[in-house]
Amino acid sequence: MSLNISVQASLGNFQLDANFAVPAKGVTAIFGPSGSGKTSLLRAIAGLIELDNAQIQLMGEVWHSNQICLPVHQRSVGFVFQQPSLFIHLNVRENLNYGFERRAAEDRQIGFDEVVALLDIDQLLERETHSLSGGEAQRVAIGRALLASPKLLLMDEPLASLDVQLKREILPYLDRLQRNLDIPVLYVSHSLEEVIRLADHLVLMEDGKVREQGPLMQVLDNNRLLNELADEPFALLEGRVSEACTAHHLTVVDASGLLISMPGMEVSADQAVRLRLYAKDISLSLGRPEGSSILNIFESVIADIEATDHPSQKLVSLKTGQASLAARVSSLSCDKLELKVGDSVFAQIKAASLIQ
Amino acid sequence: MHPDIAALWLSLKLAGVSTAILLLISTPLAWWLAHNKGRFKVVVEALVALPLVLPPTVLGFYLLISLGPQGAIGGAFEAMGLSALSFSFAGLVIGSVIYSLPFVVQPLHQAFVEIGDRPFEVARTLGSSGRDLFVSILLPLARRGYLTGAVLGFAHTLGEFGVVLMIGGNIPGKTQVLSIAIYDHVAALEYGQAHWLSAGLLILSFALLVFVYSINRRFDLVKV
Repeated sequence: MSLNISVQASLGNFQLDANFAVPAKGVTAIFGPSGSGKTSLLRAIAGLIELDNAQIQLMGEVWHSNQICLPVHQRSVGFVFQQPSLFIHLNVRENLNYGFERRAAEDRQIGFDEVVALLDIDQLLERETHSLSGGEAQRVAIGRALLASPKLLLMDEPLASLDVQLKREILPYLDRLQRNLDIPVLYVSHSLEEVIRLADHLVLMEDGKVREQGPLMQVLDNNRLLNELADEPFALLEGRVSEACTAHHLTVVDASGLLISMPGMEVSADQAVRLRLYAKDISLSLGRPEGSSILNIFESVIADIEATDHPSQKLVSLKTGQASLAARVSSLSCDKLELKVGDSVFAQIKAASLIQ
Repeated sequence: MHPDIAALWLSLKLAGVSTAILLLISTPLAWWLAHNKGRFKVVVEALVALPLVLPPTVLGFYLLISLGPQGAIGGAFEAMGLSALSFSFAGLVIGSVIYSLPFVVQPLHQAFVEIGDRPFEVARTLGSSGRDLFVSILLPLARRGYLTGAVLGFAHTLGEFGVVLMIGGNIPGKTQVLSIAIYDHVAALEYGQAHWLSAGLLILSFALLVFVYSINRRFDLVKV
């Protein structure tokens, strides 16, 4: 089951032309540079901007066309803005109830207490909005949107106004949301960190158009793309914890057959995790290194060798079992070792990190 | 009824009716001003502010002409079998509404600008629309603007003199308001009665302004 979204609109000189399908569950990140039309896309879907010439369909239901324009309040979308934008004349409980009360009882998908528990805001209910911290206010704003029982939750950089500390405070709640609710989320972000942490699905926007879309791992399983998007290229792996804590205080993750050891983390066995392996932390060797202190050494095949933005460095794409990795090596080593596509090498992973 | 009491009552009635009408027409006007950026907006703003700088007699003079039996508006009323509006309570209300318009429009305009679009966008995504938006979002958020506008409109109408004198004349019990009654007492050298009325108006106006400042410390109009 998926939601098909199609938005064609002219906004002044800017042309928005986005077609994509979103799974009816989970988080779809809309990612792209500023000015690529992410926020406009979200606002157009919600009906918050006037469109000259637009077609918007969601699940076969026409929300906007030349003939009709469904008003915002009939679209059943939840919208979480960059700023919490709580109603200052209402307290927390009244804010939460605003959308809840305006939804007919039979259309309510979620209970008040459920949302309060999910977002851990029961201590805040009788507080005035001005007494909340930025993180608390944003949690209330998310709860308020959920309580309106939206068919689609739109989040416009909900963490962008928060500092790093508060982001860490909110992220676990977003994880929880994703695990516990069936509401599909469109999550606009320009932070790759948030995207690889939260998203299941990725829509990459550029100049008002969708450049790439698909399951996150699939879209990012393309070194050229990651090389371009990230300041420091990395490979993203999905796996499960096979051993949470070994006798040597290590955590072992099974990422599509690769058993990767890393310093002990607070995880439980069999937990699904994502790993990030920076290309700069991977080195190559022609033979299996003997007597190396490095724990994670995997036989790999070179899939591609690309130039980087500095002539002294090359980015070598590797096929390691079923996983794709990338190593950043010096051009000198490339020449010395006579590396070429199809060669067998050993990848030595100096560091891997869990994304959390 | 004692003529002074009648004048006081008429002043209060005039101020009350005018304030109610002012709130009704200032809401859409201030909303339009807060949400438009065109060149035309400047013209409307200037028109609304005109009574602040114009001598009341100028305003009263033109109103007298247009509301009288020979005027465009008064003439039309007479043609419909009604009486012209000059020298009537209705005429006073029209004059007061125009004269006090900036005192109500400006605080509302300021309040609407401060609220911005966001609360309305949020409320609409939460299922609110139309009158519900007005009652649940606009009114409570603009509460201070409304209170300020209402009190200033009321107090300013109580204190008006020139416009009322021009279009209403000085008919005791019909168009003689408090400020004109004071003028009559002074002209007749009845200083005692003039004192009573003047002091009453002074205290009332002062109390109203103290109220306005206590709810709203920033109000540009009165600072000028």
